[in-house]
Amino acid sequence: MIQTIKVRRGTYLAFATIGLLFVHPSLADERAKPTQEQVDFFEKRIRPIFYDNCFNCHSADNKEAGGLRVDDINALLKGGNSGAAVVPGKPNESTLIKRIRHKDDTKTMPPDYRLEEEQIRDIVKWIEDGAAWPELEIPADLNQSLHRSAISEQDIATHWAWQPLNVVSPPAADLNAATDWATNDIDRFIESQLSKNGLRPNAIANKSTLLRRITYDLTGLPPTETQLVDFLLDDSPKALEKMVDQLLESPQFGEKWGRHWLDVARYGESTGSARNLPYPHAWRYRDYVIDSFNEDKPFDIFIKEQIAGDLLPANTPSEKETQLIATGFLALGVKDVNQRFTVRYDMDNVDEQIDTVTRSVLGLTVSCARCHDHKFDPISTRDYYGLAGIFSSTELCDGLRNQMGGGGMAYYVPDRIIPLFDKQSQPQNPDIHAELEKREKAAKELRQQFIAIRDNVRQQDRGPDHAKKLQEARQAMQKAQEEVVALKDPAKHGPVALGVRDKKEIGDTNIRIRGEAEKLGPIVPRGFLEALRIVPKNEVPHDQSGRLELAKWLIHPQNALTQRVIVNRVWQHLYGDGIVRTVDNFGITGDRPTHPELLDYLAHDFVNNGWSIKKLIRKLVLSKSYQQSSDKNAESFSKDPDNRLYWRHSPRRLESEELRDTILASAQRLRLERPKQSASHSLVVRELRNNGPEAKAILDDAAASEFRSLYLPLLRTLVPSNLAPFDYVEQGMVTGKRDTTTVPTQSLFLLNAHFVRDHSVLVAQRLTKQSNSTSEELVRTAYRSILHRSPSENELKLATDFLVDYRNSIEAASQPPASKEIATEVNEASADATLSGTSSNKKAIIDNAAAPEDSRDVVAESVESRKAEPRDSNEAAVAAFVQALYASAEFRYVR
Amino acid sequence: MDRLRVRQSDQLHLNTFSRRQLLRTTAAGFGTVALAGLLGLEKARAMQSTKADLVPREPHFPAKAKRIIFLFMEGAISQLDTFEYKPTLQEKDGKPGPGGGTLVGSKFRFAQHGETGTWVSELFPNTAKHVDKMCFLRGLHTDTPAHPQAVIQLHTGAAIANLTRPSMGAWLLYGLGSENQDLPGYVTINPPPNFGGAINYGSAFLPAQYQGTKISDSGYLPNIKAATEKSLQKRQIDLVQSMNRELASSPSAPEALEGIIQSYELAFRMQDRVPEILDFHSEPQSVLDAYGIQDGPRGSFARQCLMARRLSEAGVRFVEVCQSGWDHHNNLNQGLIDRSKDVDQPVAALLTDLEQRGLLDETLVLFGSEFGRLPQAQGPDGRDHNITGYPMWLVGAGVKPGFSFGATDEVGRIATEGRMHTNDLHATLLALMGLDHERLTYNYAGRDFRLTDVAGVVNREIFS
Repeated sequence: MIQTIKVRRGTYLAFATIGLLFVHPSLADERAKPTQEQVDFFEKRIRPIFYDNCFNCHSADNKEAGGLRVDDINALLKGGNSGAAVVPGKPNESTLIKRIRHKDDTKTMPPDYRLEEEQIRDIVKWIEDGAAWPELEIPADLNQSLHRSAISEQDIATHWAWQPLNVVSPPAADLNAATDWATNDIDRFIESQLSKNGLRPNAIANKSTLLRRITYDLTGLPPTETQLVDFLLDDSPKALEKMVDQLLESPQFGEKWGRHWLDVARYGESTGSARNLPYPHAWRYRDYVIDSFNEDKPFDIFIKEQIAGDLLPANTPSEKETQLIATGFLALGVKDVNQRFTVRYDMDNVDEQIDTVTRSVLGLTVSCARCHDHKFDPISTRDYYGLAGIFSSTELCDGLRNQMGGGGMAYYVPDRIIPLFDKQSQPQNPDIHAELEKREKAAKELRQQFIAIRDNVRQQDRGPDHAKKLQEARQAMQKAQEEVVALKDPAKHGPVALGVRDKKEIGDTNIRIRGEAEKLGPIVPRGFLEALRIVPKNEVPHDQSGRLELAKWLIHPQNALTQRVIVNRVWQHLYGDGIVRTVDNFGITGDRPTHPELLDYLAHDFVNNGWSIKKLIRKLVLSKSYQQSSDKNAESFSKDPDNRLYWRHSPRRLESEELRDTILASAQRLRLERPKQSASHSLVVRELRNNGPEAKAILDDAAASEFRSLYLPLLRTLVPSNLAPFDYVEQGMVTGKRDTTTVPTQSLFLLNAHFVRDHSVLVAQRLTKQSNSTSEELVRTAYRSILHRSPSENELKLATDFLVDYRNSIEAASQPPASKEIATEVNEASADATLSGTSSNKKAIIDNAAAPEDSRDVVAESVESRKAEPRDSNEAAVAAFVQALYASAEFRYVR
Repeated sequence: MDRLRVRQSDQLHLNTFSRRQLLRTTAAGFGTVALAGLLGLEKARAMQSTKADLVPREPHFPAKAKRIIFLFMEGAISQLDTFEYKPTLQEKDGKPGPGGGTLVGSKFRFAQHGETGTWVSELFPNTAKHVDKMCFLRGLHTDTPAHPQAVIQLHTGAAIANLTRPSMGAWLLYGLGSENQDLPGYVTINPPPNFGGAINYGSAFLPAQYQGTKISDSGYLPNIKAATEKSLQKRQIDLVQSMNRELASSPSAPEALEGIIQSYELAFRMQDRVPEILDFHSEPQSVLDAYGIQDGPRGSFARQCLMARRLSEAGVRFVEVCQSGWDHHNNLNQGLIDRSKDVDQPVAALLTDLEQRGLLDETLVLFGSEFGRLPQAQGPDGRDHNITGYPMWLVGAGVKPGFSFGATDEVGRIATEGRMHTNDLHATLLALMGLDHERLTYNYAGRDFRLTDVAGVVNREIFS
């Protein structure tokens, strides 16, 4: 046994020497296998020199100063910013030797002393001798398929999800069942299962319930007054069909269903993660998704554009533009730009793309095979790195690069965004180079000034205004830097998008041992998943990334998985649960379909109908199965409490967007048009701190906005306060199904948030304006416009009694309520600060909160001004009643 | 409900919890009693789904500690100038050190304290009085020498960006529930606005009720203040609850209805309870002075510490407080003096306060950073990051007092004995709280996840 210090990423000390495979770690497979003698020399004479003298600045445990690491042979061969550090056999061409000989006065290594002559001679000798490096040691139990596929043939043969679609015809009408219940094939499948289990479907829901259900399900909005009247008055058998068609054609349809896809596409307008940098052009992808659903773009083309839009032919410039924007799907993931090691940054992003593509389209967790063969599904590490080669041949055009530390715009790379205009046609500024040079020089000088102030350690020289001076110097430096970037930034000259394009260097990539980016195993050809061998695949061309072939493979008519997954997603959004409940996981650990024949029937039908989402939805909602009431009957419930057989319609909680939009709509404040961009579009690409002015502006914008919720700025970790309480989607991961928790913060939001109270007052003011109305009429109108039904007699009485009672209570109090409220509400932050006040220290604490720059968070808490205040006790009482309707459990459910 | 159905581990928790117990903890309000008679089995299940997630649960094995207070020194406090005494480093000042660069000794005087004779620098004179209670972990190491990833790893167990993991507090709440139903079970005060921000107290793929509640260092919490006078609001809630009860009698009542009714009772109580806890009026002047409560940023950490004690005392499972500004690549010496001044007195006061109230028997205090700093100089007056060896200390429930585990080399660069990775630290903290880190799992995307990923060894040597 070798004594091991567990150094997780490093290569310094290794594991036991028994039970190991050996893989040569170098980039070039042709490097000769080192002899034992060479390895001994390296371990005894060379590695200790590196370890003792270089590691603090050039190793995985610390950093990659100058872009170079010396704890990894590939890093030495590739070299840092000054080119190859080690050229095997050629010490005189190796930058490493130049540096350690101290030939060049400005760049000497180590910086503050010289290695001993003997050490330098040893390193020269080591390079002359080929720069041998010991082979990677791989534990035998690693479970990585390095040289062959080791997937289970049995799993491939037996697991339902990777079999071809079954050609199924709907069951014949069941003689035992309620004869003519079924109206379409879906009903026949559902009815057949129900009757086999001794269950009967529920009756159809009443019309107002049904209308509310379809408007929310299809558009994410409540029915309008006109829709309510039209629908209730339309007695024709086609009434529902007409309404469904109307909703499918409304622009709000694409907004609702586009948002479902944005959940799956883990859409976000910033990198999130360790350092949060904005994606100011992400909104174009958002709009692309919405438009695609509204156009009813065939789903296969939708997928193809998002994965390989840049590689597709286009008939018009605007089609090309659309295709380029679509690739934003691959670019907008969570990223850790502060990752100091580029190879890790790249492989993490590749992994993020593989995870997103495979889970969203295939419902498979392929990312599990990054470090070892998938533990449950027949997905090998070879499969994973076959896909990885496709994405590592793809350049992310997200405007970013990785870098350790770095303030200001250090992470921004204007070359890495996609101009949607012809750069050639732009008027060229002939003096651009001179201008750039001038600005760069100025920026450099300002940077030096900043460093001089920062590193001035002598206290007596600092003076009382040191912090201020430092801040001013930093701002001047950053401004100059922004000016330099602006000159090169295509975003300053025309529309741009974030997305991907093929890299200049295309190629297969290596398996990474244990998933560690630096530890190279054998190279594997680019390719797809063996488990889906039912799908014919195209050869990946040597001069393209292979994304186009991947896209074609995903949407191939024989790729049953893609079809099942999307059909199941659509089903889930309408029926509450998927036929496969684990909508993002169709693997062996996922759920089994409750109605496998129905799923395959729908998939088959979907493809036959040109992959039309609208036709699929239309068919689903026009089935009787969908239209059932959500009533529980004791008998069915006792047999199937989870409603897996669909004997009723499952009630669903509104999503946070629907809740907010509905409150705005009821106050007649919802703006249905699409905003031009997102509030994030004007952000400079530099780190966003949650307590900074940019974050505050973004949150304030979101709080004040009256656009539909999906148009709010959706920066990761900066969730708009009015969306946060009701399980807003986790923007960092593929989310096919949102949580529906019940927590007190939701109640606190509905009771106390400005947003809810303001709109209650606005509704109250509208209701009371109709001054001739009795309070009973007022209550009826309120019920109709908020709960979309009439109140029962009992409810009417409860509400009218409440109004009297509440009004009297206010009037009994000496002060008029409105002014009292205003007094305490001017500044929520300072008012709340009294929470922690103490007799002697109280004033101090209030002062602290009133000067929010002292605090980390108060700045970012949105301190909105109120939109509306009740003007008298009557308005206050009506507003309190309206708010109670918002707060009711019924309001947040679609039944 | 859906969540619960798929989570067997949770079901197990629920089974250990009787319905009677459930009602007892929630019976104070108006919803439960009225509805108790109406409740069928299905409603009881619905109740559990929404409510039982936060009720206290049996740990895997008897817990040594009930609550944790984490004093997070964001930015990486220089251990070599505070709690890690290395005479050899002083001797070798100015000489090349391991890994390259020039060693630099501490500019601060160290002295021995307490009966254990533990060395602490002059930067922490008050905290030093508590050394005999401290249990040092001196051989810690982590994976990434950059704050953003290391902060996230310290809080969630993993530094890989593409899959956000639940935070440590969220795992604790998931495993143990909350002792106090009127307060959030997991509170983070003044958390970093960057370095992952909300990820560090998020629930990721765990249900949202396990996420931490963020409170600012002046006690601000959104929507906690009643919007109207309480008697008026009570009337309004009564109306809401009448409507909800009306709905309960409907055959299409949603499963979560009882949970919603409960959540209003809880919210109503929280409006009083949270401000009451965060209000220092009831504290004697001597306590305020002991912590050094004052205005502005200089008083931030003192206020956080006192809030932490009050929250913890009230049963909050996990409270984290944060002092930033330790990232001394430059201005090391003055910077350390400034930061320590803000931190030393409140930390000492907190330990004294907890001890005097007998809370140290149940409460575990953890002090430390995402990593440490190098013995070498960086620039004229700074130290760079060091992930290969650094300390943290624990005080209180379940750990050996006056104990030290692990060590770094003679200059304090690399951990050589008693090495503990972040995953090991987490495994150990969970064990102290009565949880087996290998059994505390949650199935997401087809895989069982843990706070400790696929690693983690419990260090029982520090257990008292």
